[in-house]
Amino acid sequence: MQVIESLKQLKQINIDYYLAAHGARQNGKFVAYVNAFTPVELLYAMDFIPIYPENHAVILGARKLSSETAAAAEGMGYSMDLCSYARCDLGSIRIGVSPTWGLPKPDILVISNSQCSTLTKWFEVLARMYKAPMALLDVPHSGNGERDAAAEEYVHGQLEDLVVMLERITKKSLDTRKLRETIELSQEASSLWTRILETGQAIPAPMSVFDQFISMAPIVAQRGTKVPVDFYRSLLEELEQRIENEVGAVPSERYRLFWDNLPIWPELRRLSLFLAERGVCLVTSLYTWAWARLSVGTENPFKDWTEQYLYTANLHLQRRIDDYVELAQRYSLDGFLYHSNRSCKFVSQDIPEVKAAVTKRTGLPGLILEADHNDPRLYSVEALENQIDNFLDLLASRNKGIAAS
Amino acid sequence: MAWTQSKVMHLFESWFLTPKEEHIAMMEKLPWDSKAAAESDERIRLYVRGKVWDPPAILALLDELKFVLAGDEVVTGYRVAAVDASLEQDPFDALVERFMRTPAYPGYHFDPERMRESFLERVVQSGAQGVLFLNPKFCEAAGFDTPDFQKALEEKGIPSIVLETSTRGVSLEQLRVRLEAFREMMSEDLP
Repeated sequence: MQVIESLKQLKQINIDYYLAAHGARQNGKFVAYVNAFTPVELLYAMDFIPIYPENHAVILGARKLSSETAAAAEGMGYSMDLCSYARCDLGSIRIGVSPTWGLPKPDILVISNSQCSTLTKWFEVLARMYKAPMALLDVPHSGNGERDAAAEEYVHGQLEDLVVMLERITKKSLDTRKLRETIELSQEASSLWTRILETGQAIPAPMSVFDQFISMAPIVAQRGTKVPVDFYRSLLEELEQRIENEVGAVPSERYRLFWDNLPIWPELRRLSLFLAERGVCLVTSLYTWAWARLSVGTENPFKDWTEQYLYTANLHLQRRIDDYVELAQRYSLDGFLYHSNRSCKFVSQDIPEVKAAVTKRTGLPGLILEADHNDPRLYSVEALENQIDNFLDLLASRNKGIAAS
Repeated sequence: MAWTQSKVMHLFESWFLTPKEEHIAMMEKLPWDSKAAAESDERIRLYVRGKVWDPPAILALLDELKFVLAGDEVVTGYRVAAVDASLEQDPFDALVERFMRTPAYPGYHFDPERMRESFLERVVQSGAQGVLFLNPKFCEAAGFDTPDFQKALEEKGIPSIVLETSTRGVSLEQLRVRLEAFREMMSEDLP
């Protein structure tokens, strides 16, 4: 496989990010713990470095430290049925195991529950632990996305309250000029990320979803800074070159599949090689597209964030099905791999219904893999591989049947 | 008639299921002056935090093992009756206020430190000798709160036990063994 050279920049990007986080106070900055659907552009504009405990958990999983850290959290009394991201993060704090030298203490925790309600409870634990204030952006579920003026007023008000809390901590007012700058950088990064994801439509795809999982760190954690802009410019350039030269992410691409739900982080490399050996390229996914939809406008960002959290982040079943059907066509998919993620009930609970509906509308088969995004004790990777092999046999005979007819 | 935990909690359950006029009529006929059949003062005062009384037989088990509920914040327990809606206000306002004043359960978010402290206050005020966390399996809200809340109780010298329940069925006898051990620990009946 021809390696994507730009991805080598990521190691230093991540080191610099965590070093900056640990040195925040010496540099006159503050630290905010956040989750995905929080206004990080606002935080950067107000001299906060947003830190994602989820990302930290991902690194623990990818570095095969999740069993140890999750077990440590269980020793603290946390049930094994809780989200493995949370268990890894809490356990890491307890035993001091972390490839990022741990995480710096937060000045504030900012979270919205439009993505996930588990995070609220996890952050409550962290808020007690660090005796730091916590701001919850409570986002009502918006049904099937119908506009709700009362809900918009409610969420908008909370965003305004958040500014007051941040100003109290920094003792500085929000600089709207700086906010405009961070938003413009975020827009550019999101636009580049979207174009990167769209390269997956090429046949062969120049990058796999595994590469996307690795390379999404900057758009997640540093959206609003120049870092993702510079990185994604070079990555996009390389991908476009690969498309021109017909260089695929996997040699001899035979099947193009969709990955649903979060990755199985401890098995990223193993599954990547497993699928590549079989000519399977994961060309698009739910998870990586989430980061293409988070930029806001400079005219009225608070209104845009409000609408984003209410109408985009909320995972509507019908919209999810429609999105997958559309992606099937755009990406010339052969099938779907659905990760029924034990730690993420929010995304996993609808999978049987999504699979049935998508197959009905597209004729494409899907396979449900029961695993976990970060705790390898909760699944057997060998069993997953067997299931995938059987699924590929199905695809092969299906393709033969289609060719014969 | 002797009052037991089971009977008291059935009253709360009946509140959910019975039309109000009928329910009030039935309640008025109950023997409110009857005292609990407490043969002695050996009952351990227990405070319970949980979602539902699951398995339902657990209440009879608590009666049998001579626990008495000093208080509870089970979602379908005392909290449903803890606060009345005012008759002096607009009905919608009164219902909203009742909702806001009803004791929270883990699924709500409040100031994290205040949640722990107010839980501890309620336990201490109840005079409970121990606390039972009756946690439904896969309930993340309960699962995240419990360790910090247990630690707070420990610092106050109040023993606690976590029992995990499941609508798919748990062994009542296993619960019995654990509760017996907990009771022995609290009554210092250890050899």
